Amino acid sequence: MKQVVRVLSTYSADLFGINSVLYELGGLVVMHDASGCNSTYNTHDEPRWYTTDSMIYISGLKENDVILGNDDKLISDICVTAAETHPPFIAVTAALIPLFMSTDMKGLARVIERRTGIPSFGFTTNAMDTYVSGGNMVYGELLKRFCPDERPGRGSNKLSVNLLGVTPLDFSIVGNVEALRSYLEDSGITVNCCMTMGCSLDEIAAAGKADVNLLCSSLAEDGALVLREKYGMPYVTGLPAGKYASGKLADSIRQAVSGPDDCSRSDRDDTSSFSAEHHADGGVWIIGEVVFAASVRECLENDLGLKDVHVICPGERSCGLLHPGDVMTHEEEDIEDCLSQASAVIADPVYRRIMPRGWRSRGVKFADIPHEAYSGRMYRSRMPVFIGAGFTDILQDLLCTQREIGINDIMKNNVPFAQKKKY
Amino acid sequence: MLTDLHHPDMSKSEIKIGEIQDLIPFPAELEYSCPSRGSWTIAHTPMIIPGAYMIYIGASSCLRGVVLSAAEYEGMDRFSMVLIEEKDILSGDMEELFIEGVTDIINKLDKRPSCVLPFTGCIHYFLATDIEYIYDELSARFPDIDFMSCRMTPTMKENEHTPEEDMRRSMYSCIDRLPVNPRSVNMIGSNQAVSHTGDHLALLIRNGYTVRDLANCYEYSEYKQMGESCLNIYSLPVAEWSCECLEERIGQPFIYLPYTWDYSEIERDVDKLADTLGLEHPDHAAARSRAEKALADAKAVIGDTPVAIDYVSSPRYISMARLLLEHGFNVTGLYGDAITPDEAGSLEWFRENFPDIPFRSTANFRARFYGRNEAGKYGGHLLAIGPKAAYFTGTKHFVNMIENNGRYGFDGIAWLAGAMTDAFENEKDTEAVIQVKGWGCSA
Repeated sequence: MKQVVRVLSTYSADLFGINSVLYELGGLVVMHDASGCNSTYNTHDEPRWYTTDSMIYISGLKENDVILGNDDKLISDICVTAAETHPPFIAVTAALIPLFMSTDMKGLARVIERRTGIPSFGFTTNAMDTYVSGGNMVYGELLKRFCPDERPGRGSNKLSVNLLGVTPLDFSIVGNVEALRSYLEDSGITVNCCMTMGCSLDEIAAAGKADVNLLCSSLAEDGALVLREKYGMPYVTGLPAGKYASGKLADSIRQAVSGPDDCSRSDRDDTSSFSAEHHADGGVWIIGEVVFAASVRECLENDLGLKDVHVICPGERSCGLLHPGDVMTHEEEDIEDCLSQASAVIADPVYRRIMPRGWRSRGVKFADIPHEAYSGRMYRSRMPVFIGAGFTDILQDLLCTQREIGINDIMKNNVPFAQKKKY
Repeated sequence: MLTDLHHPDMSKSEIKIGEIQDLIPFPAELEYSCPSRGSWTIAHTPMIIPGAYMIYIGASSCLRGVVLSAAEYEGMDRFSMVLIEEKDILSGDMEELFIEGVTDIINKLDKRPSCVLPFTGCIHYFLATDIEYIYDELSARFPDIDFMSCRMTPTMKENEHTPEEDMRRSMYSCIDRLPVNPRSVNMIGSNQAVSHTGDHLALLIRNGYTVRDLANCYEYSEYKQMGESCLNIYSLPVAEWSCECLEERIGQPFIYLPYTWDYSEIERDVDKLADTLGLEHPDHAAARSRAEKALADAKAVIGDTPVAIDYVSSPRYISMARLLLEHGFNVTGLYGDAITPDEAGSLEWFRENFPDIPFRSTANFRARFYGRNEAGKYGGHLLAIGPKAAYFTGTKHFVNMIENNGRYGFDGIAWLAGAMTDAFENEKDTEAVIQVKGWGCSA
């Protein structure tokens, strides 16, 4: 049955995607939801929460406020906090109940901005879409608002890029961002701004100094489009994951400066052909955020010589990377159907739970690549560095050895009270 | 990456304990959630019911926290979800989605659960979903399964009964009336089994009583057998409503034996239990002197080391702080956001004796800006009781105590003294330990 999630998890939600993008920028970010709901993001989706300060708060929505439509309390609480903390911007996102109340998030932001004089954003999130949707909302607004209309002068004579769509939800904190920077530097390309891990709001405002944007995840597709429209900046989509891609991506970036970028396609893909009913049968399946998944496909096809490789994209954006037979879905029923004849699956370990009965005895392979936006923090110690030529060997090793991740990182630190299982 | 955050007015998230006038001393403003995660949530507590299966019906973001909680304690085999979409809010077919979703999940389970806990969310109540109809229909479809109607309704936190109280009510709601066994007593509401060495249970066991504690049940039949007990005992305030409901529904009387740290209150309460069951009052002297000795031993080791205490450690954390100060410990700070009414006596004692001890909020937005390095000022030698105190002081020496850890009375005091000594002498990996959600939970 559609909408039933019998054995799987859910992806990080739209409002958490917004938090993740804004986390390091010093702003005041408020989720309009009930007390306690912030701990989901803080615990499972934000690896920086323990060590890096950031003003991500919850409004503490209560039943009375819902019934009476008490927006004044939210506005007043935000203004009090802003008056004491002087953030460079304010962002407010909505959870399910504000959506149900038809709360005017953009209107709220306008009132807050008028009262505080601080640039404010209201995001009409719904708590049902994924972090990909939220990421696109915030990248679009951020770049529209903070990048000046007039393009700033180039920073240096060296070729430079902005990295768009970099958050721990897709890259975690296990070394992927550092590896990406190293790869580009080794390729003679300067990183102008890494949005948004290790960058400031001022650096984002100066995004126009770069020559090209590298779209590293589907979270920032709208951001890339804003910069293209604003400054005519080309963008390249992809990750240097594996030998082939590592050799190719730097060249693609160079070519994008002089020629047409790889998004000569229409700005919005027609995604209707990627519905579950058109899925390919059998073959290798990769499940994950589409830029990452497409990069893994490139590695499998070009480095390991595999054929018949398909992608299940659970997010709302395909970024023009899907092929016939690929599927955009987060429905458990559809995923189960796609994987029923698979010869191999590369996905977060939670997806092992949806594999068809007897898959191991039939020789079907499963390579665990934990994804923070899906299983959260619990497999972080087993997340590979997928950036760089070395990923080819990592992937081959995962497919050959079929090593299974046992007990998760959190349970390793726990001491159960119960003496035995209760189910 | 360092972010320049301007520091707010910290005097608004910290108050001298002697100046507290209100049981909720801090204003309701934007809320912070610190990384300390030891407390059990509604995704953890039902796991103590043998054979129970949880099904959450809600929006993706609401359910992410509960599904990943279940995954972290390796409980995904006892957990499913039905995701609400925008069309469901507009269509008015919430009942159908609920019933058909739960039915689909149960029909596809490899193993028949003994009981199923479907969780409604805030949205169901705002949409006036017909909950009674849903459960009538599910019970008719699955007559062999007990359904416990549960709620995940954080917007109703300040209603007559909180979501935590409602959780406790739900999980004991399938205990049916049985012929009364006058030698059987239930412990209600604790996630961790209540220690049998506690003064109250020791009295019962000495007198030949069977003590039934859901945390110690491993078969569903043991849960059902709780229906025969002649008395329910609870020590956590969140279990009060559950006991009231059990009394009303199946006639089980109840008694409140709070997790107090006050000697005379412990003696009075244990005597009250003895009176209720027609037992002789125990001689408290030996237990009392064991507690005194344990505290003296701990003080000899810990000395004047600063001690910080949080509200997670005990529902009576103010009373605990008083006990320690009365025994010469150097309590330097408390962390909490609310105080229960039965702490009024201890609060008055603080006003007269230690009015200047700081009481700090953990959830006010300003709490994000605490230095979290108090332990560093003492060369790392600061002892925390409770995971939030450990986080906010930055210490590696702490007692990972949550809701009293099932320790009661003089025995509980002796245990605490021992745990403090152990924490003083041995470091913990604070970051790893306190971030475990639902400490001690497993499937």
